[in-house]
Formats: sequence, C-alpha cells, structure tokens
Amino acid sequence: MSTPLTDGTGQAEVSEEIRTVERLRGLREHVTTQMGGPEAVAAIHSAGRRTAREHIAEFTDHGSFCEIGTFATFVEKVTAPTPGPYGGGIVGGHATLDGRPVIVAVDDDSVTAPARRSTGKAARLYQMALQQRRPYIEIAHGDAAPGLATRPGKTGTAGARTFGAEPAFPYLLERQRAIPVVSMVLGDTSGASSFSAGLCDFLVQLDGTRLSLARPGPAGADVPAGANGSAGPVTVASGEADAVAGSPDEAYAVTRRFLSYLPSYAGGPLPIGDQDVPLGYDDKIAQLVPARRSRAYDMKAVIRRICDDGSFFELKPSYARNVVTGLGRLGGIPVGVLANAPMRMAGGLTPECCLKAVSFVCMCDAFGIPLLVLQDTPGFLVSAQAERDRAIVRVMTLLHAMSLITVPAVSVVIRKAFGLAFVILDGNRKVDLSLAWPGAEIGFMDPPVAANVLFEPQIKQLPEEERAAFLSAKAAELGVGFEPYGVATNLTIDEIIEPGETRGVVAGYLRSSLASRPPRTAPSPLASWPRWY
Amino acid sequence: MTTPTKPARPTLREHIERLVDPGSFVPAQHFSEGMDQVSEGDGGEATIEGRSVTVGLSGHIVMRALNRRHPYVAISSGTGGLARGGRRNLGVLDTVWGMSGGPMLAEMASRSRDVPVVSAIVHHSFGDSSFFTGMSDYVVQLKGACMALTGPRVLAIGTSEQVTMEELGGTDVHSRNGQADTIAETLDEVYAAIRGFLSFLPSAAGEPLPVTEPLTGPGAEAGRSLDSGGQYPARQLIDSLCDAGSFFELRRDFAPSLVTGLARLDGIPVGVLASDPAADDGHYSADACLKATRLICTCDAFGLPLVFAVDSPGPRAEQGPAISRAMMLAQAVQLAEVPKCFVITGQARGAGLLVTGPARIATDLVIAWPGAMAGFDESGSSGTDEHHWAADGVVSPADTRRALAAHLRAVLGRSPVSRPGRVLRTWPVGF
Repeated sequence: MSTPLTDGTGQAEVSEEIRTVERLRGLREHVTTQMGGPEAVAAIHSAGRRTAREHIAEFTDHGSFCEIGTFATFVEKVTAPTPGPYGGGIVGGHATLDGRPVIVAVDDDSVTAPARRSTGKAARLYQMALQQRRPYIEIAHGDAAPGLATRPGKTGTAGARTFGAEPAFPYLLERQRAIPVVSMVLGDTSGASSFSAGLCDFLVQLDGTRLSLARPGPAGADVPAGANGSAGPVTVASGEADAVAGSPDEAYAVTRRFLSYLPSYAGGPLPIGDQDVPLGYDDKIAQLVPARRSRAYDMKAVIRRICDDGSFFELKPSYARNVVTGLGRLGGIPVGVLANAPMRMAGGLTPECCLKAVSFVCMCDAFGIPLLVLQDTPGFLVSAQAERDRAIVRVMTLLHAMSLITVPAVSVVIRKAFGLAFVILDGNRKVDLSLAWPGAEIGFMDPPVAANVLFEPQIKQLPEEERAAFLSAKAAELGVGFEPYGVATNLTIDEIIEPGETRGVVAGYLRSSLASRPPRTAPSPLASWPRWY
Repeated sequence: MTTPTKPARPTLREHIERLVDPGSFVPAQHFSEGMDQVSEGDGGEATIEGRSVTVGLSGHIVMRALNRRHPYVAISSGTGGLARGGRRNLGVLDTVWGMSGGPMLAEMASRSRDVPVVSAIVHHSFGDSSFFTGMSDYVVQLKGACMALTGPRVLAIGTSEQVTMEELGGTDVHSRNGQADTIAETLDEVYAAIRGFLSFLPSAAGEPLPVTEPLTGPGAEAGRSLDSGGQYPARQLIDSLCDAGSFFELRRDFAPSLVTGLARLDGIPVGVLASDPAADDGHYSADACLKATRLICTCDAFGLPLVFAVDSPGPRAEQGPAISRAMMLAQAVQLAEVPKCFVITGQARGAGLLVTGPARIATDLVIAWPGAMAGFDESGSSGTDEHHWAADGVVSPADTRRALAAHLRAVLGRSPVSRPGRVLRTWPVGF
C-alpha cells in the first residue's frame, strides 16, 4: 500500500490517488491521536479518567478494534477536512471480547459533553450490532471532565433537532432483548448516555460515580452523589446496578464475565463451557444444610457446589439479599440460578426480592438460559411495610413472570417451601422438573404459624403454660403431612432426590433438554418486559 | 377498625343484584355426585348496560369469562384459601396448589389481557382474593375494607406485628401506593365505579370500542374554557378537552403530578395522561412512570387511543429507580400500537421529551400550543419554530379539542403498524 506508484518513466510521482490515501491517513492519525485536542485529553487525564480510546484499548481484545464513524460529526457542514471535533462524542466500532465479536460505543468526552453526544451514531452502532447479532456495549461517562463541561454538543450546534431526527433512542426502546446490551457507567453520567442504563441487560457502575437522567442543578443538591462512604452508587440501593466495580479494569472484567454466559443473540447457541467436568455423587453437599428448620446456612455455598467449580457469578449481590440471583454453569451449560437465602430473614421474600427475581427471570428467558430454582423459604414476608411497598402487585408479577417462562427450568426444594411462594417458585407448574430433597417440607403454610391460626380457639381455652406444648404438638402433626412424600404422591413434585445427586440430575436434565428442544420460533414474551422498575 | 357501626355484610348474590342490570343474573351451577348435588353461590353471568359479564367470588370462575370472551368482575370473598379449604382439607395432600389459588392464578397469568378483569374489594380480603387484584386491570376498594396478602391475625401470629386492618391494607395505604385505582365511600359507589370503568372498554381485546354518539348541539362546546395558552391544572384541561363529565380518573392520590384516567373524546373512549403543573411542577416522578405505564398497557390491550397532555420538566432524577422507570415508560409509549396523541401545552423538557415520545406511527399526532417549548436541555426551542421538532402543527388551545377529535375519527379502527405480537399485552398487569 505504501509503495509509491510510478508512471513508467522511472521517476517516482505521487499520484492523485496516493495523495488521497495520505490525506486519509493524516486525518485519521490526527483524529485518533489528538481526539478533541491536547487540552481536552489533558483535562480528562488530570481528572483521573481514561479517554474513550484508552477504554477501548484496555477493554477489548488486543488489536481487535475496528472503528466505524471516525469522521462522524454533528457539526452541520464540514466544508474542509480540517481536523475538527470528529466522532460526534462517541468512539465506536467492532471488536472482540475473548474472541467473540461485539460492538462497543464509548463516550468521547474530549469532543463534547457526552450527554450531548450524537444519538445518531449510537443508533448506527446499535443497528450494526442488531443486524450482525452480537452484543452491544456502551461505556458511559456522560458528564464531561471538569473544565470541559461547556463544550458544544448537538444541542448547542443544531438546536433541539435531536430525537425526531436521530433514531437511536427508539431503536433501544424496541430492543426486546434481541441482543445482549451492556451499560458500563465509568464516570458521572446523565442525559443521552444514561438511557442505556435503563434499557440494558447488565449495568455495571464504577463506585463513586453518579448516574442520573438529568444533570444535577447548579448546586448539585437534587441528585445524590455517588458513593458517600460505603453505600455505593444509588443504583445499588434502587436495585438497578447488577454489579459495582472498584476500577474500570474491574468493570471490564465483570462485563466479560457476564457476557461469557450469554449467547451472542437471543435464540443463538449458548456458549457451552467445559463439559468434561465431574458430575458424580457429591457426598458433602448435604452437610451444608442444617436439619433444624430454623437454622440459617449459606445458600451460596450450596449453589457453588451444585454449579461447576468456580462458575457461579452473582448479580445484584447487595440488593434484596434474601434472594440470590446469578449465572453459573452445570456440566458446561450456562444456567441462571434463583435461590432463597436463609441467612437473610430466613429466606422470606419481600417485594424487592420479587422485583429482583422478575428482572433476572426475564433476562434468562429472553436469552434462552435455563433456570435452576433452589427453594428454602418460609414464604412471603408479610408486614404493613410490605403492603405499603406494593407487595400484592410485586408478588403477582413474579407469579406472572414465572408462568411465562419458556426456557428449561428445574426447581429443587432444599428444605422448606410453603403456600403461594412454592406455587410461584415452582413456576406455577410450568417448570419442567420439580424436585425436592428428602428432608423438605412442602405445604400451604409454615406449620407453626398454621397451627396457631387453625387452632386459635383451642389455644385460647388452654392455660398459658400449656399453649406452647400444644402448639408444637399440633405443628408437628401438620408437619407430617408436609413431608415431600405427600406432595410426591400427586406429582406436585416430580421426584425426591438425594442431595448428593442434585448436580448430576440437573445437569443431565439440562443436557437432554437442550438437545431435544425445538428451536424457538417466537421471542419469549418476557423478552419485552422492562428491565427494572 | 374504627368504623363505628358495622353494616350488615351483603352476600355475593346481593352484591351482584345491585351491580348488574336488573333481572339479568343467571347463577353458575356446579354439579357433583352425579346430578344430585347442585351448588351455586360463587357467581355467574349477567349483563351490565346490556353487555354480558361474568361476576364471581374472587377469581373462582374467571375461566368462564375467559372462555366467553367478556369481562370478569371479581367480588372479594374476604377469605383466603386457608379459611376456605384449610380446615376442611387439613393434611390432605393435594391442597398446596389448590389452596394457594393455583389453578385460578395459572389462568390469570396466561390471560394476556384478553378480557377486562375487575376486582372489587368490598370486604377484608386476604389470600387469593387479594392476589387476584394484582392481576386485575382495575381495582376498586371500599373504605373500611382491608386488602393485604394476609390478615392482621396471621401477621400477629407469624411476626408479632400488631396492626389494624386500616393500617395494614386500608384505603389510605392503597390509594397512596397505587394498588387501588378507585376508592369508594359506599357500596353504591363501588358498583358505579365498576360499571363506569367497563363502559369505556370493549368486551374483549380486538373488539370494536364502545363509541357513543358524538356530542352535538349547544352543549357540546359548553365549558370550553381554553381561550388562551398558559398553564391549566390537569383536571381542568382534561375536562375541557374531553366530553363534558366523561373523565373517569384512576389512581387519583398516587403520583399526583400525573393525572390519568379514561374519558371520551367526541364519543370515542380514550386513555388520558396529563402532567399537572399544579402538583410538583408536573414532573414525571418514578411513581408517575408506574402510573402511566399501567394505563398505557391497559389501553393498548383494549384498543383505546392515548391522549397525552404535556407540560413537564421531565423525570425527577432523585427518586428510586428513576432511570429504569423513565425508560420503562418510554418503552411503553414506544411499543403501544394504539393511536397516540400528544398535546404539548407548555414545556416538554429534559428527558420529559423522551417519556412523551416522538410520534412514531402513522396514527400518531403531535400538536403544540403556541409558545410551547420542547428541548432536551436548557436550550429548548419554541413550538412555533416547527423547523426544530416534529410537531404536526401548532394549534390554539380553543381548537385543540376539535383537532384531537378529527384525528381520532380519522384513524379510529385503523389497524396499527404491524409488529409481531402486541407485546404490551403480556407486560405485568400491576405497576
């Protein structure tokens, strides 16, 4: 390419063509090295941040980035190819992550305040991702580094000709989880670059940053700043963030990890891991669960033993911790795990737990990731506060979601499951395989509470000192009917299994079901559900 | 309970007789033991304003309405599964599923808003009669009746929390958290509310709207007071834009910065969403996004056009999951297939512009009042500068009603742009 052409006279002559190539090279070199200018880049660095190109270089596979839209700009008419504020506030293009193709779109705050970036360019990148059926990843830091805040953006240059003219936003609104979308918030973010955070499948936010739709007012008082102390970003408390990262590098890592469980597009083949893993009898797992029904234990330890070694990746670990959600592998097959956590409020379910579960189930179902539900819960936690927090609607929405699942699903009652909570977590009888460990209790209500409610008249007639004994006797009577052999007689559960068999049974089921399921012909209804509310 | 006198509690039959057209009720009969034992008492079919419905105790016979493709009205039974079946079936093994309302819930969960489903909470309601409200398109709660997952007694036993019925799930609780669409002072108000809600909806999804005669004559323009621009309180604006007295407000005390409800415009049933500059400047609060989304899903499922009146600075950023809720609302607006009309009466600013959405489909209409401002941030542009944003026209306040009516008449019954499946029908019912 760089060999000069000759005209046959022996004299090297720079042809018009080459001059054109050189001009392109020069411009590209300038745009990619200078970005928005040395002052802007210096301001970004002195704010302790990385430029868009530095993010891409660190995040994607080395040398894999292939840029598109280098010369995009929202300055209306570029009459001369002077190196201008190119890029439209976004650097983006194709790249690979661990060898798998993705599209990245990164806020370029050296050019403009990314809140005012070109939505048209984001739209083009998203459209490419959709057409080529690969994940779309945005890195957002929508507020410019200090000192760069007043730079013009599309609003400043082209009036409010934004949403009518630029189709990015509608595309993402209609995404219906057709491809995985990740939003990485690595700096204070508001405006246009915050939208994907409300529409993505995985939101990771850098600790100490602020994410909000609107920029805070001059005083900055109406939006809580990021981490004040240990609370983490407000999106953790609101449940919106799936992960919090302590550094950009950590954010890159968790994003890679998240995507490693997902197909490149909804309906695409699952990324199967190492299938040559032991699936034999686990003689240790039963010891993790105390026999005494009121004794807490670490459900995550149980999950880790059921999943392939080291494969469990928890999502939203700090939100509604009575329920655990995460991705893992079983015999190499990606699986979404939804489990009660008896360490927190005995594993009772709050309205927040329901929302966390709904959001997770929607994501798994949209991308064809099988579900494994591990039950150990006294039921929904009832309280006046829960009712104020819209418990009825939240509980019923979880029921609704579980009733609409289309992926292979297995439920295992580890120790106890009662009433509506059992009906719901058992997928409203839509799970493919409903299992219970032999010590499980399954019934309409936690037996001690049920005894209290059912025998209230008798209890009232007893002297105070005899009541406790009476109650526990009645609870024990009720408890007999709650043994899993009871519900196994009428197929409310399909099988009672040994704890040590769990891993093998579930993995075996998943293998056979992935092999035999017909390909999906229509998207899952849950694919269109909102990510969070 | 602080109610001084406890009125005699009507039976289901009495509720039904007072709700439906006189003499129209035909009870459902269940046969068992061959044909020897006939039981009725959990409801049946009737007509309301001449249109057939199924009315039943809680969700007991909801299947009949789904099969008949007409509305279902659930009258709360006041008891959960435990009280109904627990004592009788104690220890019987098949009860977990049945007693938790499983079969009914399974039907409900898969109904995809095929027919309108209404819940009336007229007694204290726990267990499956409260669950059913979480799957209903409309919930009316009688003052003094409690609606909760479980009652104070079980609460006291299970958790030692001592609360009154009112504190646990009274109308104060559910008017503020949005789980009741209407609060009724009397039983007659409950029945009127049910009839009112159903009057706007077709009997089933996909059927023609119950359009009434357009208002004509001198009364038609009475009460039109929108002679100039400027801010109007939302309810005054709605009353002026819609047919006189037709506005049926939903969730009044929940997220007051957005006023929502059903109404008629020139006889055509519509869903109305008006930001109220008189309440929190008309911000789209996180709860307002929930409020709007529920109505949009209902209207989309049953074919009611949507009319948005916008005078809002946008979402409030600092409450709860603000971004997700705003994006959810934007998605709902985007995905709705019914005609959407936007009247920008004042400012449509910030992400408020996103929430209210650009016109997307051919049956959409965006009109602006003179002087209306729309823009993504501080530098908005005037609506009269049509260069800058896609309004179909600038319309004077006095002409707005006419413009909306003409547009709705023109597009009524048009099939929406095609998208595989109308996805909002499967969205959650409660928000």
